[in-house]
Parts: sequence; structure tokens; C-alpha cells
Amino acid sequence: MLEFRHRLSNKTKKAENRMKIRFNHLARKAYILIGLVFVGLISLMPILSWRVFATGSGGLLEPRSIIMSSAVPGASSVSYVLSFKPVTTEQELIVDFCSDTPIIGATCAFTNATTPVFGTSSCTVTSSLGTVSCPGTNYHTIRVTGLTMTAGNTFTITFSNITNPTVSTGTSFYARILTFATGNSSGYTPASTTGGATTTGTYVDWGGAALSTVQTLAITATVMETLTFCDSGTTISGASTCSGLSTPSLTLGRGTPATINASNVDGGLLYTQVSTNALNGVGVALKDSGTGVSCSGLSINSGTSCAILAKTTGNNVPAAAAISSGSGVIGMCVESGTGVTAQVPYNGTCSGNSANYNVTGAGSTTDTFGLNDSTSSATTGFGSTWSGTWSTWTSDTPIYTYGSLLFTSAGPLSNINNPLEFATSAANTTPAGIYSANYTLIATGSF
Amino acid sequence: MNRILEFITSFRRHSFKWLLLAVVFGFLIYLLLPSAYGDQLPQRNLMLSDNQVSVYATYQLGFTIPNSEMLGSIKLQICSNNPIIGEPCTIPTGFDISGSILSSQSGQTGFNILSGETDSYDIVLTRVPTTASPEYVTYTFQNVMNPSIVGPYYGRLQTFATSDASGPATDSGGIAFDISNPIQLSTKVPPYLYFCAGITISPYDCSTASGDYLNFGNLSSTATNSAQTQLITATNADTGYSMDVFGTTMTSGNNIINAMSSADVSRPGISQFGLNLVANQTPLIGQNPIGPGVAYPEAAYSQPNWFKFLSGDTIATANQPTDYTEFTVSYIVNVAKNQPVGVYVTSLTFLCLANF
Repeated sequence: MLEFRHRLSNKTKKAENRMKIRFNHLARKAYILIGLVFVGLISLMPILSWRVFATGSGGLLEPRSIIMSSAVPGASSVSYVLSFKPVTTEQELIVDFCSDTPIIGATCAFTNATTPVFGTSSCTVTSSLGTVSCPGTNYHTIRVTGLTMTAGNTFTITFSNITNPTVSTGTSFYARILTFATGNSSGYTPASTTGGATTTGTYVDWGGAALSTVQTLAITATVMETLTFCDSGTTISGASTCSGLSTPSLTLGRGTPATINASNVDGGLLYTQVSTNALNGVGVALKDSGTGVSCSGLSINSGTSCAILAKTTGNNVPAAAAISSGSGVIGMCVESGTGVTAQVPYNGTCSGNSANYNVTGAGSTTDTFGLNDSTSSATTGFGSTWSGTWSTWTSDTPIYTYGSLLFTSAGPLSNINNPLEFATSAANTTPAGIYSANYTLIATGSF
Repeated sequence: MNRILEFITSFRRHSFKWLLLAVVFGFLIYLLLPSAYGDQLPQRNLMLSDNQVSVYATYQLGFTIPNSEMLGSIKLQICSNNPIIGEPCTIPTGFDISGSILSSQSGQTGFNILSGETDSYDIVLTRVPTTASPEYVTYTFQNVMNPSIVGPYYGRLQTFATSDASGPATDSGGIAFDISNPIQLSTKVPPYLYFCAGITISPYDCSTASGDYLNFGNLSSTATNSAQTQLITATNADTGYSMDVFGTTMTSGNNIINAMSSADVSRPGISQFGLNLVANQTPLIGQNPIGPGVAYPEAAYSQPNWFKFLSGDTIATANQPTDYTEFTVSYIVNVAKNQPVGVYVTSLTFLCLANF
């Protein structure tokens, strides 16, 4: 085992020596390359200094930034907010956009597709400060005069009405930022349309910025239209959607078996819950079910006639009012939940308190009730003015086509409970018998 | 390092599989991405005339055309799973719109049902393609069979420039509606008959009835003796009630005062015993019926100054449910000069029979 380890150690040392030799060989080549580059740069200095560095007597603008209000390729009416901290106090500013490099004085490539556009026949860019113009023949350069850029203080200027480059997402373009003393910015000549070099003139501070367009993220989600409506003979929890339901039946009266008479008023509750994401809300209508129904109240002959009449005021005027003992009518009201509006005549006082809809002996209810029993149909359907919003709906009696509107909402609802409160009393002349009414509650969403 | 090399080698070896997997994945993504269906149709709704299961109902479809656009057909599809166009549609159990008729239309008109494109859960309206202006439109379908199961259902609505719902949809939108159970109200009104008799009774309150004995005093052959009692009745019997009188004329042992078996006026000096239910001037007694009820005295007992008594006669009737009626019964007694001396008495029974 020891011998094996010794041989392994020798092999490792040999490998290390070979790596050192190779590394030294590469290092020598790198030093030579760096040296050649350095010598080349020194030899080119006389040429570069004429274009790039000769007039840069100020300093590098730091920090500097350009914030775009939109980075979507080709977006118009975009604002660019330029901020920097001048090294020297100056009065004029050049911002030159190029697609190839931010280096001051270098050649500048530009087209409408690769740099921002400030107009085609005239300079359309505007500025939050100073007087703006667009030097050159193709408008990719902004010149602003009449500024006060104080040394050491952050300077911010907003350029508006810019059209972004139309190049595809992720392509960069650059801004060359230069400051000038009064009158000197006119010496800056932008590159020609062929992407030639620029003439910088006598600028003071300088800096570059890189920008890029990016395609807007397209996020798509589908929310399907929903409408959930339920009714129940017992309370519905508002915490969940239509759970714990029971048969929506209500027997009115007192005693065993429950009966009504002319001496009292007897009432009760049924429960409804509605949820929808309908943009224009939901309407719930009350409709007499069955064929041949000709009245809205309680009947002993399947709606052929109603000895217990719908509660109205005056001459069949649908309006909420108290119900008195012996009146021989039935009415209802909606105890509307949040975001729900009860409609005439179901919009009376509706407390849900049994003391307010039951009366023992002569007297009237505290709550008020109604039941539309108009003698003629408002129109066909929801009315001639119906246009998908509930304010345009013309209410009808429950016996007509689409029923009588109970309550509405102006927008979406979530698990909103709207109990229905009923009250009735027989008259002395109310024929003896078993009375009933079957109503369907029709919920319609306007999406 | 070895693991990386192994992975690269494996990738090269299975490059075809990776490519195939990428193609399949891309295709699935394509399927899952939602398709474009133009603008949403605002104010879209589907109103039902009845939302019970398995009944024929009228469906009114309404929506707003959002832009000025070519409109040649409208398609409505009813599904039980969701309103998302392009998704598989679960056909609602029991639902059938194929037998419906387009009974009315407003806004953009001129449509007919395109039978070739209509089935139990799809309906297509067609017309010659015409430019439609932005406006609210309605289309009413009669004779639509509702689904047979309670629950939410959905409509998928699309408009097309073509007349047969082909090509890309111009606009679209989903609709939701609900099929539910009706609410049931019931109550019982027990039968009743309200009836009492007394010498006096406050209006319509039998608890105030008092007295059951009338004394005519000394009978005279030159003047009529009279008295009155009161009755209150009411019932909710469907065909009202009839009120009869039973008893004998006034007697004293074997001596009698003649009953007025036919109606007659009061004739002092002639043996008479009779009654009626109205106000009289000769003699001045009685009162017409009062109260909200609709019961009325029978003809023989309803003429002022005319009296009758025949046991078993119906003296008042109501032929429908009637509220309170208070009758005043007027009695007259006349005797002849030769009327035997005695104490004349009778007991009368009023029987009110409700006809439920």
C-alpha cells in the first residue's frame, strides 16, 4: 500500500511540473500581446486625440442615466429622463443617439430602426428645460441651450415625444452626452446618414449611456364568466358559495297545522345568495311558475285566481307598504346585501326581524312589502329600453315573460346573501283552502 | 467533470429524442395558448323566462356590437363546463335549442336560424353580411328546452363577418346563467262561520251579544206589538251560507196566534205572527242589514212593512264568502178580539249553514 502511494505521489509531481511549464509559456505570450496592444495604442494617440480627446477639458459625468417611459420597440410618444451630475457648470447640452458605440467622437451609426427618432421632416422632440433643437439632417441628436447645469448638482431633463427604435427586443443603442459652454454646442456636428464620424466641437463634460428596447411581456389569463345563484329554506352561510342549502319552501301561518286568518299577520323568510363576475352586474327577477297563472298572489287553484292578492297600493300601484291584519294580501321585501339594490316594490323596510313582519291581533307590520301585480305587461322581454344595464329595465309583474325585478347589482358580487321576507294575512272573505304560489327566481348576469 | 461529459455524450446520442420532445412540448403550449377572438362583446346577457329544469322557456340574448363591423352570423353555444371559446364543450343534459324559433330581434335585424349549423346546443343566426353599427341588439328564442339538472350553465357567443359562422370570429364573449329550483309558498286558511244572536250586539262583535228573551207585553187587538233581535254572520265558505228559521208560532196551550205563512202587512185585530229583516215604518221597527258583508235577506223577508213566518224558511243568504253582516230581526204580533187569554210563547231557532 505504501509503495503504491509513493508511486502515485511521483506521478502527481510530474503532472504539476508539466502544468507549470505550459502556464509559463502562455504567460509569456500574453505579455507579448499586451505589449503590442499598448505600443499600438501609443502610436495611434496622435490620430485619436484629434477626434476624441482633444477638446475634453471637463470631466466624466457621473452618475448618469437615461430612464425610458416605455421600452417597447417602436413605441411613440415616449419620454426619456436624463440625469447626471456635471463636473463643471455649463449651459448647453448635446445628446447624440447612436446604434454602435457611446464613445465620444467615434463614428456613429444610426437609422430610424436602430436609434430613437425625433421626427422625419421636423424636429418633434420637446424638452422640459431650455430650448431644444435637432442638429443634423436626420434627427437622432438633441441639442438644448439656455440651461443651467451646476457643477456637483444632479441635473435632470426630460425629453418627450420620442419614438423608440423598432429593432427587435434586446438590441442596445447608445447615448453620447456632452455639455458645452454657451454658444459652443453649435460646434457639434452629428454623423451623416451613412454613419460617419462626428465633430464634437468644444465640449466640457462627457459621458455615455446604453439603452435597450424590450418587447412587452404578454401575460394572458382567462377568467371565465360566472354566475352562481341559489335559494334555500334555511340560512346560507356567506363564507362559502351556496353551501348548506335546503328546499326553498316556506309555510306561512301559525299553529299546527300552520294557518293564517284575518286576525293576524304572518310572515317568514327564504334565503338567496348570488355571486357573479358580471361587469354590468346581475338582476334577479321573480316569476310565477306554471302555465295559466294570471295573478301574482296566493291561489287555491294554481294561479287561475288569487284570493290572497298581491300587495299593492292604490289602484294596483306597485309600492311597498305595511300589511295589516285582515287585509287578504301577500307581499315581500328584499333584505339586500352589500352591493345589492332592491327594486320597487320590494325595496321597503326589510329588517329580517320576525317581530316586524308578524302581528298578533289587529295592527300592521313595521316592515313594508309589495308585490308587482300590474294589469298589463310593460313590454315584451325586459322592456323596450333594455340595453344590458339594469337602469334601463322596465319592471313587469311576475306573471309576464321575464318576471318582476327583485334586486340588482351594478357590478360583480361575491357570496352576497339577500333574504326574502314575506308577510300575509287572510281577509274575512278569503275562501278557506290551501293556498300556494310557486315562484322561480331568475338570475341574469350582464357581462 | 465526468458527469458533464457523460451528459453531453448522452445528449448527442439522444438528440433526436430531445428534438421530438421539444416539438411535442411546443405543440402542447400552442394548444394551451388562448386564441384571439376579437373584441369582447359588452353588455352580453341571456335572460330566461323560466329557469326550472326541463321546461320550455324563452331565451332572450342581448349584447352590444362594439364597433362598426361586418356582421353576417351570430353563434351561441350552450355548455355545462365553461364559457371559454375553443375549449371542449360539455353538452348540457336535457338542453335542446334545436326546436326553437326566433320570435323577435332588435338592433341588427334580418336574421334567420341557420338550420344546417344548429343542433341541440348550438344555434347560428344568419343573414346576408351587412355592416353593423355599434348598438345594443337582442334576439329572442322561444321553445327552448331547459337543462334537466340544476346548476350553472354557460353560453359562448361569437359574431362573424360570414353568413355561416365560418372563418375567424369578429367578436366574442361568454355568458353564465343558472337553472334552479323554484321557491314554494304555502299556507292554509281554515274554514270559519261567524254567527251569533242576541237582543243587542255591538257591530260585528259576537262577544258583546246579550239577551235571549223578548217580551211583547200585553197583546192588543187594536195595535201591533213588535220587538227585535239581532244576528251577526260572516263566513269564508266558498259559496257562502244560508240562514233558516225554525220554530212554531206563538202558542198558549192549545191556543195559537196564526203564523203569517205568506208575506203580509201588519193587520191589527187579525191574528198574525211574523218577522222580517229590514227597517219598517208600520210598525216603526227594525233596521236594514249593515256591515261589509254581502249577505242579503230573502225576498219574503226583505220588503219593508211586510212580514212572514214559516218554519224552515231561509231568511238570509250569501252566495260567496262574506264579511260581517248584522241583521236586525223585527217581529210583529197581532191578535183578534176573540184571542183566548193566555201567555203566548215561542222559541225560534236560527240555523246558519255555510256551504264550503
